[in-house]
Amino acid sequence: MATAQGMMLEVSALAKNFAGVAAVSDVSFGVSEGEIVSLIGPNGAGKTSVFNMITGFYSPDTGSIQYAGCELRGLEPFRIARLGVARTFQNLELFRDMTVEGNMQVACQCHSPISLGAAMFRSAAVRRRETEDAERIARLVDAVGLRQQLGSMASQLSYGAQRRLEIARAMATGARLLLLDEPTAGMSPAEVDEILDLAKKVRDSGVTILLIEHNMNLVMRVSDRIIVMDHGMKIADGEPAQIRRDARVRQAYLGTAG
Amino acid sequence: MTARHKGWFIFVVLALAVVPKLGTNPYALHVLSLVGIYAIVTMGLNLVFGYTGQISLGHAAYFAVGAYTSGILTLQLGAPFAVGMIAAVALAVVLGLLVGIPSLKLEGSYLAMATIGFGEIVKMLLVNWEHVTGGPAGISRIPHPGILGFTFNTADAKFYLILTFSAVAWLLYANLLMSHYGTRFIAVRDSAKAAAGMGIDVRRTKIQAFVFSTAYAGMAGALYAHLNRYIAPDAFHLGESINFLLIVVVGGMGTLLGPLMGSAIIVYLRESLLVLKDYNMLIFGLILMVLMVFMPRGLVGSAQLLVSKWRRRRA
Repeated sequence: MATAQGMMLEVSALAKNFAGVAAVSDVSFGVSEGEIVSLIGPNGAGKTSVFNMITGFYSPDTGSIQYAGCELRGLEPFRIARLGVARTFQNLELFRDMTVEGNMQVACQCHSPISLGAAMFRSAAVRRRETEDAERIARLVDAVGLRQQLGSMASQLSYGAQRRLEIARAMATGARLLLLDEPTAGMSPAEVDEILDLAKKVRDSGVTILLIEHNMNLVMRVSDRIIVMDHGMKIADGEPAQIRRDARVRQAYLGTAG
Repeated sequence: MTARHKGWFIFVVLALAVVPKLGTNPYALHVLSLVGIYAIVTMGLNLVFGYTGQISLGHAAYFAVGAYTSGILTLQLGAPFAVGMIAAVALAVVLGLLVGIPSLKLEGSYLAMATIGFGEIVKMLLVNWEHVTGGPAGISRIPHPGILGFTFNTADAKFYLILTFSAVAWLLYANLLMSHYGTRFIAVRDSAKAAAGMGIDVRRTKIQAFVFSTAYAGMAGALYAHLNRYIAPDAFHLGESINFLLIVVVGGMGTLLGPLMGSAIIVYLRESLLVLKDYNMLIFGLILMVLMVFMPRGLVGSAQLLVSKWRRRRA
């Protein structure tokens, strides 16, 4: 286990109950800067709940979430996003009636100093900022292969393209830590490979990734470290090779997965 | 705005500016002025309802606040039109904040109820606070608007005044919605969850949209008071709030031009159907039903859909 030194994200003793049912109990782990860490486990293991607590959508019953020296617990989701933690959603939460470009423009405002008044009077600062954003958007859509679809409605993209747009949109917030919730769900093997390359590209650009994923092939290939959850508890944490040999993991997860 | 948008904007404003020179009668100019006033209210309401997805059934109240504020200040205290206008917008903003901050925590029908409640409170005040508002009889002989010694006392002059206000209101509204900043309103409507995840303060965004709209309603109300020179509580009932929403829907929710088209068609329909006397609302209702069945996205929304289908077929 890594020590607290150099940790970007440190989750300690996190717990959450829903109507008496423990969704997450006493989960602690850390993520170092520049890592790709996967969070795996059977359905209902509490992975997405952990994501929702880190990003402020659920408030934990106990525990703490330290990110770059800040306590995230108790902050609203938009404040956490502004601190540099962005996410994608398991069930896709695109702005469906907006173009790909519009989706990206929303995210570009995460750290924008532009005010409502400035936008109404279209000040020089607004024009400058919008030119910069357009360049950033062009780079990001290129990286996810959506250049041609910039003007298409998000709802009209293919499923795989929608997933890639969500990743690009999260990146457009200028995030330092990216939380991807099942980015390959429902994708073809070819599309999965694209996501794998994309995740590595994102990591190489200096962004740390925490990933929820069911595709074990992908997880084993991309992860620096893997955290395994079952029934709301962490049951293992280590490098892919260690996890593959772990008896409890086999029993809880890999065993059932065949 | 692109050069093409600017070109269209200047063309339309100039074309409208020529209308009084064509020997148009004062009544027609009055109706066209009303279209401008309704367009200002519904630009704001479109931001709240069409773009941000929040309903308000109380906008007649902010319209009334604007009208009474400017009417009372100019008539009873002899304040200049500019002061009446600024006070009207300021009070509409303050009330927009006071109502918006608590009630925008609500959604859907609960928000509708809260805004109806505010509308009723304002109407009660207008009727019962007699020594200030003139009670049910309202306020008459509101002064003609004047700016820097010039008095807008003819239908022509008032039309130009309202055209100027509508054009400026339109510019600010279009700038906002065509900017990247404007995308946050649709984001809140489409997925508040994702908007928050992208760093957008959803509650603040809803309040901004709401207060923008109350400011516009207040401005339009002040113009209305000085155009009509007579205001009474009857003009500001729930039906008027519904009428504003109707304009947004008929014009095309969440389309830039919707409020203009919607205001034009609803104001002209209402005026031209008056000759039918008792049957007027019946026919009005029927026309609305037909419009919404065949153009569910409103005039502008359905036209856009047609154009994009046609382009795709050609491509």
